[in-house]
Amino acid sequence: MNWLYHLGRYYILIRRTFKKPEKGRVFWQQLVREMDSLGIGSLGIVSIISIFMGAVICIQSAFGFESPWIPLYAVGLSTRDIIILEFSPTVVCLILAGKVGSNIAGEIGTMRVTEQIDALEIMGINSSCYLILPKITAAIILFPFLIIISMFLGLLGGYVVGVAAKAVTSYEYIYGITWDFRPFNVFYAIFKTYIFSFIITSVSAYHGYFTQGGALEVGRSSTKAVVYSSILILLFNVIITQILLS
Amino acid sequence: MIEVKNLNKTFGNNPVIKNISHNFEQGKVNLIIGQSGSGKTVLSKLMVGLIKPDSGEVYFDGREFIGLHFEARKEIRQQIGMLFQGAALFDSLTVEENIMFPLEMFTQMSKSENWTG
Repeated sequence: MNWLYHLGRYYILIRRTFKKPEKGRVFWQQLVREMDSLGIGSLGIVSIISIFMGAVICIQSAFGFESPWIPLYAVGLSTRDIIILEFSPTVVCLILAGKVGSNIAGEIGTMRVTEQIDALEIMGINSSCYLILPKITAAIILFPFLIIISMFLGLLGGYVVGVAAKAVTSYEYIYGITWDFRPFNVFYAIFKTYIFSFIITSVSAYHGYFTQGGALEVGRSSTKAVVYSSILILLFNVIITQILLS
Repeated sequence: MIEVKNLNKTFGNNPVIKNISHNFEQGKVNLIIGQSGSGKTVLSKLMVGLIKPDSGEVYFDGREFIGLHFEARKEIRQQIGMLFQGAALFDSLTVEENIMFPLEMFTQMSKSENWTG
């Protein structure tokens, strides 16, 4: 029943987090800082991974579709669907769970063991609202944009490498990525990203916030944050997909 | 006046605070002395509500503190000053920002007013 204890404590933390911030001006300053740190700071890794993964997906699709019965535009079509439905929202969020999740758990965990959180509480500040709310808000605002950029760069990577490697022609690829395009798929990906953003930031913050001990435990909290965020992302991926696409 | 009544706290199987009662009167300097690990910090944290006791009560000017809601607790906490063992400065802030932090949070003054005021 250990998981029930954690679930209850997580719920109490989240309830305390979603309170009116002590001061709007301070909250906005924190929010902008977090948007820069969590969102803009992740743009580089998201871009690099998306370009290369898009390229690999395109080449692998071309390799798999070497049949006269399958039209060449299917390479673009499958690259588009893999990137929009699964790679950008799920795989990129798993990568963000590693980067952003460990960062959040490490930062809040260090503040806990060095009594900075206690100092906030003593001053009468709702420490969870002050520390966690800007992170959750920043991730929910910026991660969907990161995912849209990832989709675009993934498709671009597939185009550049697919055409350069002569796996597909420019015309066939563009025809493939526009053929039977369903805007709902983008909505589905963005919806998943909102849920995953919340999971990454809240679960990581939870592990950081309840760190006990010293530097060793901060490291353990960071690891736990990444592991549990990733597991929950995979679990909710199945649930959301079942609900929205079945 | 701060009144502590029958305060108990156990960590695992280790009872750290055992049935402590005391009145900390206004205007007097009170000193808590003890060996390392004897529970001085735990007692201080129990008194200001940073740690929840297993049993016992703490009163600030006759108001029971432990069972108070966060907002009511906040009102009392704003009258408390506590210096932590490890300083507990916010390492993401500069020295100036650390000093001005309570002013920034609890007053409507701008940054420049805080500094010159």
